[in-house]
Amino acid sequence: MTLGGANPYTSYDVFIAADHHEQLESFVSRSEDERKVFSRWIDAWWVAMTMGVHSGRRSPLPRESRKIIDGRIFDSDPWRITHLELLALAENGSDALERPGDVIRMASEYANAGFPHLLGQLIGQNEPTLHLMLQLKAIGEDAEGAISPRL
Amino acid sequence: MRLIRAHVRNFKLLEDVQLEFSTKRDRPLTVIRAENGSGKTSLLYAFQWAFYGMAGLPAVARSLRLTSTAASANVPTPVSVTIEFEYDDEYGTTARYRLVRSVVETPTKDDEVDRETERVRLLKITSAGEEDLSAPESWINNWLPQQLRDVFFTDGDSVQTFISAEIGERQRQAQVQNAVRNLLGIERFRVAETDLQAVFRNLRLEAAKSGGVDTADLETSLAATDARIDGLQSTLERLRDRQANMAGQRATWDKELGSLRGIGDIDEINDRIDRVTRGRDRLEDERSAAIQKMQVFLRSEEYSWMLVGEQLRTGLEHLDDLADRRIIPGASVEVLVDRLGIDECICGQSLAPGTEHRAHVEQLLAQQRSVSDHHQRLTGLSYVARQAAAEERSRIEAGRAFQQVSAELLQQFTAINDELQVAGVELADLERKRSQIDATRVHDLVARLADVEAKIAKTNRDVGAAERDLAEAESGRSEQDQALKQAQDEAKVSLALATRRDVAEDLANLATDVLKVLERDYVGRVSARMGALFMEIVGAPDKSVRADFGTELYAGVHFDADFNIVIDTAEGRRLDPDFELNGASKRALTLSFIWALMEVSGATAPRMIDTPLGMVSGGVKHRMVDAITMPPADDGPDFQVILFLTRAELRDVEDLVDERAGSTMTLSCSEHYPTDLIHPWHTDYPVSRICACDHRHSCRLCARRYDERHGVRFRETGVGAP
Repeated sequence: MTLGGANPYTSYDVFIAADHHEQLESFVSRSEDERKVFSRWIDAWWVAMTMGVHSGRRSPLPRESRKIIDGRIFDSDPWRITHLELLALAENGSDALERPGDVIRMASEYANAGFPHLLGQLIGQNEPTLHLMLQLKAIGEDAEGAISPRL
Repeated sequence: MRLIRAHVRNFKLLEDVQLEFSTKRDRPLTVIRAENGSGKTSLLYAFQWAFYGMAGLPAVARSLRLTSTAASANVPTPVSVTIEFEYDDEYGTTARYRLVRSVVETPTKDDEVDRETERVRLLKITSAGEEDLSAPESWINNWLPQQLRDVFFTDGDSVQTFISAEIGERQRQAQVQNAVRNLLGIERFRVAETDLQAVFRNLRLEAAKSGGVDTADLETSLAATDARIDGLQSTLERLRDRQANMAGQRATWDKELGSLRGIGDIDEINDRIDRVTRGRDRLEDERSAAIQKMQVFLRSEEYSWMLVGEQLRTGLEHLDDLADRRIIPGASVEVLVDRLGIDECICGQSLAPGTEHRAHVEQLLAQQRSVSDHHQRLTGLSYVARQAAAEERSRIEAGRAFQQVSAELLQQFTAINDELQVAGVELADLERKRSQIDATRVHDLVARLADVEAKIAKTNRDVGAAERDLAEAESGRSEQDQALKQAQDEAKVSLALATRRDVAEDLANLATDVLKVLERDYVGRVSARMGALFMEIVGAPDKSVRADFGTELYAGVHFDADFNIVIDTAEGRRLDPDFELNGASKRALTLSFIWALMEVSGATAPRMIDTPLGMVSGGVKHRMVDAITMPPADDGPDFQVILFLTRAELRDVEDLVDERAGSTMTLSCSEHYPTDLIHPWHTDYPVSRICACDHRHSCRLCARRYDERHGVRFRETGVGAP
């Protein structure tokens, strides 16, 4: 959470590529009663974004993109703003935070690169949540030590 | 009776089949070679129907149509079987007859048939022409009693009828006794004995009447007691039959129920299925909950730290660098404004207007104002990020970071899944068991058994009561008889009448004794001949035979007093023919019985057997065919044996067929092309046809694949397949 408590991304929309949107629809709950892998689009977007960051790959959004949510969503999980901005700092230095639109663009490009991998873990699985969890755990084991005690 | 020829029309697939039988004394065998599904059973049924009508067919065939199921709907189809035969009457005169049974069947659209009334004609063929005999069925039944249908016409599967306990012990005994009595003429003698007893009773009544009122009354009482005894005996016999039938039925149902219950108790299985299903549903819920926990966890900050922690740390390091360079936290705009307001710097220098130092602080304030928002943001981020990093470190130390929690969640899931799999396997197993149990049948059997138990108990009581009544009546009869004799002596019954009465009594008693002797003598002869034949076929004291038949050698076979067929072993054991004889031995035993019965009776009747050599092979098969086709001795009666044999059955007995068969034909079915028959028949409906091929040859009609394997050679007859 930022010191002033304000969410600088409120006025920015989050987009994903149209074909990713289409493929991901069956894994995102449309109502509270549904029990899909992701209860909200932002959760799927976040996982894809972290996968893109982890792999170090960014990919610009294509022209055919769909808005999934606006930036007010970050108010529900303020830690995401912190993580977004730390990632932006790590990527572009302290000036990165001066333009919130660039932060969202950066994250969207990482997400765009991460979606194919995410979809690859979900599509065709009997129990996609389990499969995704196992894959992430394996990635985590490979990256053990990435979270330094210096934190 | 000797069969000469037969003509079957439209009986099942036998559209137009003509057969010639061997009537040569030295070649008593007729072979009809036919593979399974060629029409052998239909042919056997055709003969049974011809002689006895629908009642002569096995129960299973009585409800079936006679015509082919391929026959056109609504087109009347005439079915007929014509049999020409010879019969030697009791005076040694031989006459020739033609039996024709016919009926018209019209198939309806529902695969049913409208059957018109059967017609049967028996024609005596003489040099003057043909003469219709009245009451043809009575003649036939006299020459070839229907009760002996199973002796004359037998198929391989029911060839064991006479020895199988499956039909019930009493029924089996009655069947054997019936066969013996009917074929040996004893039945007629038994009727004569009954008549003599009736004559004696009439004379006794007459004598009693002539002796006056007292003796007449005594005779009336005695006659009433006799009638009562007859009634009680008949009741007792009926009750015992009923008792035996019910016991047999109970055993059958018990066996079926036992086998169903061997799988498990249906109610218990249902309870277990309910329990396992509930457990499985609970596990499914737990499984869903575990998946949901994973989904929640995938949205967590811990997950983000796990996957991009390295990059987040880089961001933090950047903030550290800014702090090291004192860019953050930034100087406070408010402090500078305050200091300018009091004209004194925090270092103590004057900030009075116009001073150089004030100009510197005012410049600093302007700069600070321009970067303030950005630095404030970085400062705020630094504060929150450090806090978040500290929390993540605490989680790692507390074992609550992504790696640990995800491992726990996966472990939980795996444990639940394992339990679910166990439950699934258990459920599938239980459902498989349940599917094997016909619950309705189990409940039905339980109800039937309870019912039959109650009826058996009641019948047992009724039998006991009837036995007591009979004993009482017999004892009373003896006293009444004594009293009557005494009264008649005292009343001086006329000598002539008394003599006639006594003679009748002596004759009746003689007839009873003779009947017993005859039965014992005939049965003894049949028993001895059956034993000899059986031992000839299977009982040779050769170790190789032991291998053919099992572990024990047979010592002998005979009838006991109750008409049971008893098999003794060399080790002194008695074998149960149902469970301790192999298929070959059972067939050998039944054929030995039929042959012995026919030989001892001297009856000339055909023995038509469908697939008699199934389950029989090697030396036993050869010995069996040798025994049943052996031409009669010089003084022995003629006989005919008509065997329906497959190529496999004919194997290894070809030499005997060469020597003993006076007629050999082959029956084939169009449906066997192209799987087995080599040449197509070009018919558009299924049909069975006969050709003159013997056991060593085939033609375009009957040539089959693998004929070479059976040593069958193709011959061009000039007659192609139709």
